[in-house]
Amino acid sequence: MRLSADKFAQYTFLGIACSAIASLMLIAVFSLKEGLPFILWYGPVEFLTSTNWNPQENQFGVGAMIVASLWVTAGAMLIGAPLGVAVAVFLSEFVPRPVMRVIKPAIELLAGIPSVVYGFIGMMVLAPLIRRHLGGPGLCILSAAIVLGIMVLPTVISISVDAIGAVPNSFREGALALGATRWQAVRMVVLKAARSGIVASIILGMGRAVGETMAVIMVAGNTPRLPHGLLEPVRTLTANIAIEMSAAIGRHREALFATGVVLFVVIMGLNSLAMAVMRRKGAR
Amino acid sequence: MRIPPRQVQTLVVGMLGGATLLTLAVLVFIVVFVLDKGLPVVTWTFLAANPEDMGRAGGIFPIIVGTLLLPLLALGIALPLGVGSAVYLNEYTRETQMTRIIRFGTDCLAGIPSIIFGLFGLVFFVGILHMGWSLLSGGLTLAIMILPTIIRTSEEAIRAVPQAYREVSCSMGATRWETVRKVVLPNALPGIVTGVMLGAGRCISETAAVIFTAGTVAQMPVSAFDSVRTMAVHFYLLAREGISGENAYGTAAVLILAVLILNTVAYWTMHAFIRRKAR
Amino acid sequence: MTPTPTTDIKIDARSFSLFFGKAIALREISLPIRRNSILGIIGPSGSGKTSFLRAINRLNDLTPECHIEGVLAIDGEDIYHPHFDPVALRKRVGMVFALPIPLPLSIYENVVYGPRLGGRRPLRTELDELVENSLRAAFLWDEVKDRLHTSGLRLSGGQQQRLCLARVLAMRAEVILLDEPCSGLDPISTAKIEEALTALAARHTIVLVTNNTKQAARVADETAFFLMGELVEHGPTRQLFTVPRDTRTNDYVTGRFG
Repeated sequence: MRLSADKFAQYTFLGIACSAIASLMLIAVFSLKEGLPFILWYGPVEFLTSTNWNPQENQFGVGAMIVASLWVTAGAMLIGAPLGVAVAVFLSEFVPRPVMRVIKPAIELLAGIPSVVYGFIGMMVLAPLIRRHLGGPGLCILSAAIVLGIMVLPTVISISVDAIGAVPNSFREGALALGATRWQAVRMVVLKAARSGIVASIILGMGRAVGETMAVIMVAGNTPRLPHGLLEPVRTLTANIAIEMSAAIGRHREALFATGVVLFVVIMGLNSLAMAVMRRKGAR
Repeated sequence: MRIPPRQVQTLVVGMLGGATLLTLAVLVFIVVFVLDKGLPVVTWTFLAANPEDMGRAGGIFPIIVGTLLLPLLALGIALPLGVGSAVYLNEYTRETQMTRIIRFGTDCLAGIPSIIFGLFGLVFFVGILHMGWSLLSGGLTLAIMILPTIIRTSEEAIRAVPQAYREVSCSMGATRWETVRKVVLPNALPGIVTGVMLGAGRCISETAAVIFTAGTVAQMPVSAFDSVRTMAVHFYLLAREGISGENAYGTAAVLILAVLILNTVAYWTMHAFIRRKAR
Repeated sequence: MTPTPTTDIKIDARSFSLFFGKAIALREISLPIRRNSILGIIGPSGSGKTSFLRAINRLNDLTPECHIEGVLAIDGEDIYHPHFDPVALRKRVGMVFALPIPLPLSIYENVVYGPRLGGRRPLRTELDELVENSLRAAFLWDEVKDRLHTSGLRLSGGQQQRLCLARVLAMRAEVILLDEPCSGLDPISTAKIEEALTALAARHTIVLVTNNTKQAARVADETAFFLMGELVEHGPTRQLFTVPRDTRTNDYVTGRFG
């Protein structure tokens, strides 16, 4: 009787443990169910490559938004990746542990700040600065890239710090014993050993940048046209969904779900890539 | 010409330190900026009154209530599921194909952007299950969203419980479930609390997924099927529509303070936990 | 096979072998352990003493890829029979580990941990009595009676180990397994534990694994010498220490290796 109670607990826990994977499947199935028929009906090539988005006239090409998402994400990573890795290296290798124990949670606080607040400050402070000094409308690729670059910092920093922390101390000591300076030891030994973790942190940060919605809506300008420069307003995939969803019906609504499918596929691709990179480290 | 390695080091460390200072400066700037503009607006009346004229005037009381209820509901669902998953992965099974699939699913779920959760919640909870834009739809959606966070932090907390405690408990004739209930979970509790705080923080900050599932009605909810508006959503609507800069700042200040407190408590619990273990 | 019901033998190992994956930890051990006596098990580290001890309450089950051959019986019943419940077994066979490991609970809660398992809710008065008796039997009562509700972790190492012993006594276990219980303790704490064990042997079957041959000589009725997973010699303690049959036993007890 009591043994069966233990067995009962075991099966209950197994069921519970499947909740995450079940949720993931539900999300995948319903995203595809809502979006895929539209993509097939509209034509996948046309849907993905056309830069003509005009729901009133049944024109649903998300090409411009894919390009916009790429631009904004690339810009964000150009800012966030080097900055984040630099901070991670500094905190892990050149700062006494007590200091790190104060600074690291402070930086993780950046992750707790709501994205709408980032977007708002970008809109109120950053965009006017860009408008005044560089021209253009201010709400543009550059603003979005800077805001997202800051937003990906906590992801990049905390995963990189973990990766660098996992490098055995003997590696550093070996290099130092050969007469290397601390920085040489870091550059030649530590960063090499932690490379896959750092790369994974950047890929995961990229995932966060691609998926960010509210901050981007507030700073990117949201014009659904192909951009020709950093100072032009753009609309990303995520922004497209969030802006039009509340008013959309029929084909228009389906097109927005189809946009979600594209986003879902991109994100799952990036996640799988990050996991593959980390696993390669494990195998080595 | 070759620069001596010592000077290279000084230069590089200076740059790395500069990057760190820049990052901290951004954080300080955001917090100070919001609090500076927002705190003067935050009075007892602001906290305790209903919003009027679409939020142009009045306070944010029902919005605070919504901001409390939604994470509570989400955690009420995600906590048992998340802790249960973590218990299964660490106490009931060894590394198998099944656990690898579960971990893979959890990692994938963690990477999905909130807008996708919003879309899913809109189709599934709001639409197919006929829950409408409601506390319930929003809570369920957010529960799925924070599930990976809860699973991961709980797993770490459970793994940190010394193996010796399990052996002792088992050697006295405890079943696995008794060991989990009496030894593992009580000792993992501070770590689980950290996860709860982080999950609550994520719910409070979330906007996209909430608008699509919980709606935007700024009224006191009377049932789980009523729509609610959270502070993040309220702030977004006020700020983006340009309804009221002043009240937007006030809401943002309350929001930022809530997030700061949650994060600090989470961090403090975790550290008390680590210190206690080290003893 | 039907075990022979002998009243004198509590635990009976017959050609008992233990494997971790492909590695063999115990090879064909045949060792009868007498009821209400103390068996000392000595041998160098890695000789299989602890593995044998953990086989008696099936704690090795927790280790992946562990399997056995042969028979290990308690009261004539094969404890590795597929229908035998290891949880019930462990309630009868208590264990004290090498390091004192009180659970992070109060002294009182540590002692009543076992009696409260299995959904039983003994009366408060019963528990109070049990706690006092167990702590007295472990020679700890006088030192802790005024602070039963403080954490067990606050006690000294020697007190903690006696608490672990009291915890096993409160389970009303018939068999007590001790895995080098005094390895981290000072001579005075060790003496207290040994005193307690000698008194407990009247009503318990005790198996004491020890690295300290002198301890076995002091307290054990019979002693077994393990070497590299095999049982080299087993007999009354006095005989094993004075006229060992095997030269390896002689070398070990006279301190020539190990």
